Amino acid sequence: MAQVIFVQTEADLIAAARQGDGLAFAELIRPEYRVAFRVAYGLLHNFDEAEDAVQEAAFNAWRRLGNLRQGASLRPWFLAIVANQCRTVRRSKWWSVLKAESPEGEGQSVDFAGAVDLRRALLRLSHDERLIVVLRYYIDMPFEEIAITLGISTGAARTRVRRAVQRLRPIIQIQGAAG
Amino acid sequence: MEERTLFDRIHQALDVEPGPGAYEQLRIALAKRPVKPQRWPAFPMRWSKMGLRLAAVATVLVLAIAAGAAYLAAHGVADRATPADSEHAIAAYKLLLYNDYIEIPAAPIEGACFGNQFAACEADVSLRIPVANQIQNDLIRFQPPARFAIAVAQMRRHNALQIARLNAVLVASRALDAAAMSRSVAAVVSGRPWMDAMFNSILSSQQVTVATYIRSVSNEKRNLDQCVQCQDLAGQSRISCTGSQVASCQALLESTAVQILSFQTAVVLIAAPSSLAVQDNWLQLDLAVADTALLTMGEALSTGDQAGFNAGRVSLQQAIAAVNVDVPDILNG
Repeated sequence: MAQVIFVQTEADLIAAARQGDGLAFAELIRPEYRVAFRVAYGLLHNFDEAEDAVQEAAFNAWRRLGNLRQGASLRPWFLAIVANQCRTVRRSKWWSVLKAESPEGEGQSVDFAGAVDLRRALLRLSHDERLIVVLRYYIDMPFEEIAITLGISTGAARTRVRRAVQRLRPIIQIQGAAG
Repeated sequence: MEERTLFDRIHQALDVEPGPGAYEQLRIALAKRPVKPQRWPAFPMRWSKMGLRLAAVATVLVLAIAAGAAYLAAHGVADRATPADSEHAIAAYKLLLYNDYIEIPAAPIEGACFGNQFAACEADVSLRIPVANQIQNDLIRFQPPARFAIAVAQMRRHNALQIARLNAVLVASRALDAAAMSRSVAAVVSGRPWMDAMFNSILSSQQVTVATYIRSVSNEKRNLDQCVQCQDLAGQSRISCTGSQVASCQALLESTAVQILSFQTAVVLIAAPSSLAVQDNWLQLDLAVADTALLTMGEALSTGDQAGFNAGRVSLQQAIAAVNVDVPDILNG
């Protein structure tokens, strides 16, 4: 189909999406899709579940678009919904905590055994601890944005990151010694 | 612990990217569901989910490669071979398409072709055109299994358009014409989701039971009926697409195209059982007519050709009317 391209601002897209325009909402979250998937994968450690979680989160976000404050950044708001969706998925699949998976992208992994151990270590963290580690060390998100995503202060975000890392420290040190 | 160490180790352990076309599948899913959410259908292999699963497809294809490669080696895929819907023939054809699909550059064309990046754009498009030509050659040269025949015919049509659009980008970049390059790139970008969706549907296609197929067709028909823009476009009221109304016509076209594509891919992905093959063939054919009509209307809209748009619309109306007959035939067995 030949195209006529219309440049729309974020405000236009939000307005259209609020009126039920799914394509407008899709455009709105297009820049966030990759990051959202990586957050979901970091929390769920399952490729298919991560993609499904992002899809469900997208519909949830669309329904709740009225809650997005004017001028607020879309990314932390959307990632918070993705994280909540992942929490729901994990609650409904208690067995996944113990499930051993072969990681996608393992061909790129230099230290496969170490990667699996770290994944298992991450799975032993609580949802909130894992989320904060993923946001900080996987998404490389600044503390200020983590704070907005989690609805906490920047100081609290720093504290939570430190605590989560303390829980991961033994496994990392063991790997470091072995390596 | 060094922050950098933890960063590196977590990336090493978790580094993945979403599957190719995953965002586009989400986009289509968002477009086809109304703002008031509905529950997902009980059928767990919904196409929007399955279409996303290229990783799973790759796994299945790895298993099929041995059989497919052996088949190709032993028999070849003879030019204009007699179509056969044996499992081996289907696996071999999927393998052929898969090998074509993975050759398409993953990076989006708009990453190289923007602004005054003429040289980078020319280099990028020069890589894409041979791949698109190779796909076209394979789509023409190898006769598909019967259940993919209509879908593949439409793929040829869409891919031919993509080739023309890519060539337009090449010409514009060589002419250092930023505006023409931007328009042509936008057209290429707009054509990619259709090809992605159909590739994914064929690669993931599975023949299902009568009940499952009927449920899928019923869902798609309901979605088409609930698509207000589709009904407007297929209705009898006069639609003018001149001046400021071009945008609303474009919106009608895009919404309808999403819905028709959803229906087309659904009947390929969730393939009809043998007992409904004839009815499925009619439905696919009428959906293809609707799809072609939308292409015609899109081209006419881009050139301000109201008469061409109206002609395409008549064809669309007839195709939708035919679909309205096809579906009860299927639902009533």
